[in-house]
Amino acid sequence: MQLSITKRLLPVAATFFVGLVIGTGVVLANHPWICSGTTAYHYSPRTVGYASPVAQTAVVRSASSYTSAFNGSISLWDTTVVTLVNSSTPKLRLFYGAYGQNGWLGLASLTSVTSCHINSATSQLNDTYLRDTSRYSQTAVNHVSCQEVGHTFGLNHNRTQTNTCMNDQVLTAGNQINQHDRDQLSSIYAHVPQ
Amino acid sequence: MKRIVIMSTSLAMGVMVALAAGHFLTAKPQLTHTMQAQWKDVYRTPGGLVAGADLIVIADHISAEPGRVVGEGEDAVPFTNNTFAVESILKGVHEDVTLVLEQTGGIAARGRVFNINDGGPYEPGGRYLLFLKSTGEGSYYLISHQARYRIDEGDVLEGVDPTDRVVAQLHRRTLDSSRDVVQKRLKLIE
Repeated sequence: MQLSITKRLLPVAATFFVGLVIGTGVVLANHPWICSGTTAYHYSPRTVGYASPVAQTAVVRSASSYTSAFNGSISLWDTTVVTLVNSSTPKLRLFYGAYGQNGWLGLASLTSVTSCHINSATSQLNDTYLRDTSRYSQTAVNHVSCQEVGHTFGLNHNRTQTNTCMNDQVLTAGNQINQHDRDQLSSIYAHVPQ
Repeated sequence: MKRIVIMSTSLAMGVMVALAAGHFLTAKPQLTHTMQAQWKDVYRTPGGLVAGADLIVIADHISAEPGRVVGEGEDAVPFTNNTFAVESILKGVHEDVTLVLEQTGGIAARGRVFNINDGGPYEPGGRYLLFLKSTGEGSYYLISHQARYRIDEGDVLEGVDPTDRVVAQLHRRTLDSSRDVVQKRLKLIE
């Protein structure tokens, strides 16, 4: 009798264990910009509302240089597994301004996060440096814009390939991402509803 | 049929338990946030970093105070003024015994704390090797994530991001051998 109960329970326990493994795999999905343990930052759902670029301070370089860079970045990332829609209640906000001599050309901030889900994020372009058009071409501005927007989806820097804006050692890719970026995003958002 | 139902239910329960556990473990409200920067100056060699710095110092962290804020409300970018006691200068000129390093990040609206990817807040009392640029207004800023090394008790350097090619060459080096790298490069510049 006891043996019979054990025989019956064994497959049930085994399938429960398989479910546990699958669920744990979802929870611990690996990602370059780590939030906690092996869990990455990500939006959920994967349709993300964004606001059109806004100046946070007066700028010297033409505003259209920044807005066209951001608009190009939005169009580019929209071709990945993440869908971007212009929204009056955006999760992603885009800024440019003169943030001063601080060492950075661009900055990505996750401004509200709950359980690794991004509630709101910002991308900023620093006109204090980027106003120097002799040093920073439009391709360079596009590169920085593309990278700062890419960070807000949960991607970290990619230092091994130069054909992507996620490389932080060069500024030559412009608004360009590669298959590696796309694959990473597919992996991160595999469990996230549309 | 009954067996299939039991098995399916068990599988679903397993998935749900794992997801619930994962949610429970990570569902704390998050107050500390990381910012990712595209640095203006990223170097290929430690020599480039030495050449690019206005000031290279060994210094002890004294204090951190809220600094300027750019923008308004939820999207404002906070800055922090870190004061260091200068122990020695390897490159550049700085007359005072202390210096102020302005760091992007700090306390923002609703008590949220933002740490840029330069290693975040400095350890109070911590000893550092720093590669700095002048803001032109009396203070300095860190060149990038390549430019900050915590000096431990054994005088060994700890870089912020050892996956970076420059940091990798200084990380875990002794302070003396790192000084040599700086001095050799300075001789080449002269």
